Amino acid sequence: MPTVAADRQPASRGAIPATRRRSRLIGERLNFQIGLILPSVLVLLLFQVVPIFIGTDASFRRWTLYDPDKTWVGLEHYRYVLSDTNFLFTVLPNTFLLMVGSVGLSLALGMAVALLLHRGFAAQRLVQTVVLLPLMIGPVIASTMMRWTFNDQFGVVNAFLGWLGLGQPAWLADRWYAFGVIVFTDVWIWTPWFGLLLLAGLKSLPKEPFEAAALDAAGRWRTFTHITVPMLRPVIGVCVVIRAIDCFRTFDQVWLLTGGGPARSTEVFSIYVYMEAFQNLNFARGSAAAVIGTLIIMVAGLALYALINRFMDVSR
Amino acid sequence: MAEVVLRDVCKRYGSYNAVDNVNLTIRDKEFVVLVGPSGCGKSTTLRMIAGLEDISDGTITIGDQTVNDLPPRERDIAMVFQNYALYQHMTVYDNLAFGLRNRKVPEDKIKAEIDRAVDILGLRDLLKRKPRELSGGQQQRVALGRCIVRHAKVFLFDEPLSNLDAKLRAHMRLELKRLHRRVETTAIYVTHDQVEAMTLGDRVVVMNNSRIEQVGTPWEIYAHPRTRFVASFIGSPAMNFLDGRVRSNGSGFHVETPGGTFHVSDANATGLAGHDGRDVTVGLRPEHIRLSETKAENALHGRIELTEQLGAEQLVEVVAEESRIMVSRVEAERDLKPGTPVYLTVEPGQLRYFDRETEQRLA
Repeated sequence: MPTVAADRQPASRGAIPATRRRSRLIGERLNFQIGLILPSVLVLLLFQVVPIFIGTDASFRRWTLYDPDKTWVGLEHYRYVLSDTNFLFTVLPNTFLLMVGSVGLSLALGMAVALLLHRGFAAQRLVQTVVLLPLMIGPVIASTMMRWTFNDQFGVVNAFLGWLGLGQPAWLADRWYAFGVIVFTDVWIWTPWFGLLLLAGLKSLPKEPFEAAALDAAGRWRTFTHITVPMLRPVIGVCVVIRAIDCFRTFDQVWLLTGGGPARSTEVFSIYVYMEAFQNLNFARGSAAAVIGTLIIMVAGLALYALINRFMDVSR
Repeated sequence: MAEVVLRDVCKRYGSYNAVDNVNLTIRDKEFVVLVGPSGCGKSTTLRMIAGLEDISDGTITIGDQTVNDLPPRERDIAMVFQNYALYQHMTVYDNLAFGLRNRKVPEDKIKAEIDRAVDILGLRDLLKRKPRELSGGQQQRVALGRCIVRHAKVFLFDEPLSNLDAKLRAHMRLELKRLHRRVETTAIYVTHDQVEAMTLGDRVVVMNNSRIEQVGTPWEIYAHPRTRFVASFIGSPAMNFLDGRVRSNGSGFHVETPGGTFHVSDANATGLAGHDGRDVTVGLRPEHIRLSETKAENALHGRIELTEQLGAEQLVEVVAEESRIMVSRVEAERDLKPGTPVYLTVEPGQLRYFDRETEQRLA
């Protein structure tokens, strides 16, 4: 205990009193810690916080190329966005539909994949690698691939349907078909991600409760619903919340597959913001929409987390 | 209510035999304890009875049914795990009810069963709690409750007390004994703690190196150990062992050891017949040794190395020639200093002789 011994020494002439020495030590440690986090804090400030402030400020002004004064207009843009029927009745429903559809389906499929891989079988390694492939492909490439897969003239899907003697729909020209392709692509990209995280979750669960359930005569389905799912709740909760928030800002798949079309009918939130800001060059309106979106997703995220915590607490 | 019979049961992992040819009959309502050091195969044996491990060879029957190919849920057994394995996300009530609900028992019957179990175990006030809000002892009782409500044919216990502190362990040991007297079900209990084995078991099964060394009542195991391993494993402090050589002197035998010579009792003599000149191991229980500071006949001579004061008695370690001999039950108030020369005597009938090579008891 050298520090204690040092503290007991009488404060002789020239020596620094123990309390001051200790505070200097704490000061040094603090400086070191600040030094460590400073670079990332600066980057965050510069590229996240400052733009958020500028964007929020812009949403209250007439921030267009023809108004150099950037006149303060208060909530005008918010009023516009919130009364835009396209935003209210197409964009928001599309966004939430994509969120529910994509997250729900990829969670279900990811769980199936995880359970399959967790059981272990002969070609498991191979299957595991194949299943993970979509994760290694960038969303842009995946979306381009899917656009060609579902191309009404040259696509594999229609060729296959033709071979079966079935109808060959123009996949990307109909609102709900096109939306279906978007959801399908998103699910295809994200299922491995769910599968991987849920598999890690499954592997970390203790095996005794499952053995106890086997002795308690729980069948496979009851073991799954009453033991596996509740025990995986934290993993499922975190996955769903992260993916839901991420899904809210989906851009590339939709942009590449349909560009929001046909006739803006598959437009989602981020496409709407992009269109307003960079196609219509109305940065302020785009910013207002972005702020509204941020508030929506914050509330939705918290609500989702609370919901998951409550509903997953299976005890019957 | 059921008898459990293991016939030539083996468990192999590759070329390793985790359980090797185990034959054992556990009678209806009997409390049998499997005891042995870690890795001796006792837990694997239990898990094979439960159906949590496949049986590589042999048969296991519960009641009059061979269960080799039955899944755990069809074996009608209940098990308490070392870490309790409670369902953490369920209340105590739901933990107790889960097994019954899976068997489609009506809710009112479930409630009646749980009522009975909580009265036996004193869990009434905890029914709405989650396991994480309970102490270790309470969690243990919930795990026991899960067995009681089921009226299973056989109760299995896999080191259920080893996660509890010493005081609670002693308390739960008594509760388990009381519980078994009240619920009267065939019970198989695995532990590495010989005190638990001796106090709980109607019969004790000592296992070592994947095999059964001896099966018997606690007294038989203690008083008539069949192998050197059983003798060393059961009893606390452990039995002392000395190397010796059998000598016949016409009318009887004696055994020479470096520290002194032991006269062989008549009861032991039959076992040593025909072993004249053979190497044996002599076993002396610490509690059977008398320690005196004055010279005695047929005594080992040595010096006190260490003493341990326990309050009710003293443990004394004596070095005689090259052997260290532990002596227990020395009066606590005796003033014994390390270095003091002492003489150790044992009733000849209390000595146990083992073949040096086979380690089997000679008797």
